[in-house]
Amino acid sequence: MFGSSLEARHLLYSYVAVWVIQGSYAAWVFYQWLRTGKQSKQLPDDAGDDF
Amino acid sequence: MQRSRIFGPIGVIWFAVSLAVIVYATRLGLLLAPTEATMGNMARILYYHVPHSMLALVFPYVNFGASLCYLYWRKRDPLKALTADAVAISSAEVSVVYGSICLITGMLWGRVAWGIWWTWDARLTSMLLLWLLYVSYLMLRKLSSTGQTHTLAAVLSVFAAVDVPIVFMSIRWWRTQHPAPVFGGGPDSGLDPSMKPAFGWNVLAWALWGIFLLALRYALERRRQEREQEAALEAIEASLEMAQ
Amino acid sequence: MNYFGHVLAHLRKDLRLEWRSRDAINGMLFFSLLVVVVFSLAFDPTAAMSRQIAGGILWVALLFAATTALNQAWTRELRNRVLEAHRMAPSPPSALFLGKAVANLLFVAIVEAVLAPLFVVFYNLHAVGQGWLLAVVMPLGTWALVCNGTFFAALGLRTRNRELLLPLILFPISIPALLGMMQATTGILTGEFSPGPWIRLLIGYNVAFTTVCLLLFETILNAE
Repeated sequence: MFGSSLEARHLLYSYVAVWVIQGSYAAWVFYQWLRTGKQSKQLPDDAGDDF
Repeated sequence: MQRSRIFGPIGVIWFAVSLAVIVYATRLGLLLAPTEATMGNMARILYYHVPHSMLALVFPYVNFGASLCYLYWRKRDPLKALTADAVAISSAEVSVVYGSICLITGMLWGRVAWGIWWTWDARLTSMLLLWLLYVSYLMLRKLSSTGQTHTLAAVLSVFAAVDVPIVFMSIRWWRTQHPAPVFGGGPDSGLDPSMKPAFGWNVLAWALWGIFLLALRYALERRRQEREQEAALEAIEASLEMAQ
Repeated sequence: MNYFGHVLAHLRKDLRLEWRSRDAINGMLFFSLLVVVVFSLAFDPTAAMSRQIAGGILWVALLFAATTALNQAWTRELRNRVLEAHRMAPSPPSALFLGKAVANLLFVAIVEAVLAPLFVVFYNLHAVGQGWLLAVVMPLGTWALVCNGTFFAALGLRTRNRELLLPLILFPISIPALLGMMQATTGILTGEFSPGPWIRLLIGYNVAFTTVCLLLFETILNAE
């Protein structure tokens, strides 16, 4: 399909690099979003007991 | 909490649509579009390198607009100001992501096509400086003390926005006065009409994805803001209890 | 008191405080000298090549020297809650900024006056182009660094890692100005190209950013 397999490999590597960056950023934001949601639901009841 | 009920399904649909368009556009660009005459198959990298570069120049404007809104609403309507701030940090992070991809794919392409990782030509240098500006914005966000972060970051964003045109102009003059090798092609070197559809689809695809990322990061920032407000309320209530 | 009266008052205060301790100036002078020596070891240029690189090295040395001065420019306002007093005083906040920026300009100018002859000596320099233009480029370039530097030093006043943050924010924003001052100086020294466009760039940069700094200083002074 491609003339040179070196070119094909580099094309693939750089596309993978794009998805590594995009994917890891999206995954990190999503993970943080889930974690923040869980924590804020746990706060209310026992916070005043420290005093 | 009602907001997430509306955003939830729209978010999922948008995510699915952008992924679908990306797959379609990638297939168009990498497999189906005609091979470029001079640069061969490696030039297909342009199908995702250039859209990322174009979008990396758009998101900073979103950041600037949001920062201006923040500074305007800061004293007048604090709740709106918080949403503006959430948009500001989201667009800054997405700018850095797209800028990083532009730089990295550019370097990989240069390495394969011309044997050099980098050259200080006008476009690359300007993109690097833009990237540096927004990374410094993110550093300020991280290192400044709470309460001040939003205002300081908004001010820095204004500085960055004033600086961007000066950067582009000065680097271009520099390269006109001291010419240096240029990493070829790009949108202004005349795209062959047969490649335009594939290119257009790719720009659309990555734009949709960028908007999705912006919205996701915005949702995260809003959640964090809500948590801070809840924590502040806790502290106030606890201190009131103590006073009794 | 009119606006310039306020600026002069702040300027005189900073100059007097600095004259009494002379911390910043001594530190900057010695630091610049060290930078010059280190660069001389790094590059061992012939006379022709030295003209190409001296401009860049000079401004890098000044950039680092100015950063050391700027880092402690606002710390004396933190002691004894002086900054709160400034906030409550009826004088316009931008006057405080301008006074301090001009004071910093004078300190860095003193360092330049010592450093430039050293450069001429160490690198056997003489300007091939119009040497008198250096008297235009030096103040313009220094003001570009000092104006933004004073502003960002104030911006980072209550951050963690204050000294680290200043270069992180200052350097990216200053790159066009740095390019301008380095290219202008190189153009003057080598005579190979005209420094004109670069001087115009510096003027434009200074006008733009001085305006932005003056307009936004009050915002960051009262950032809470």
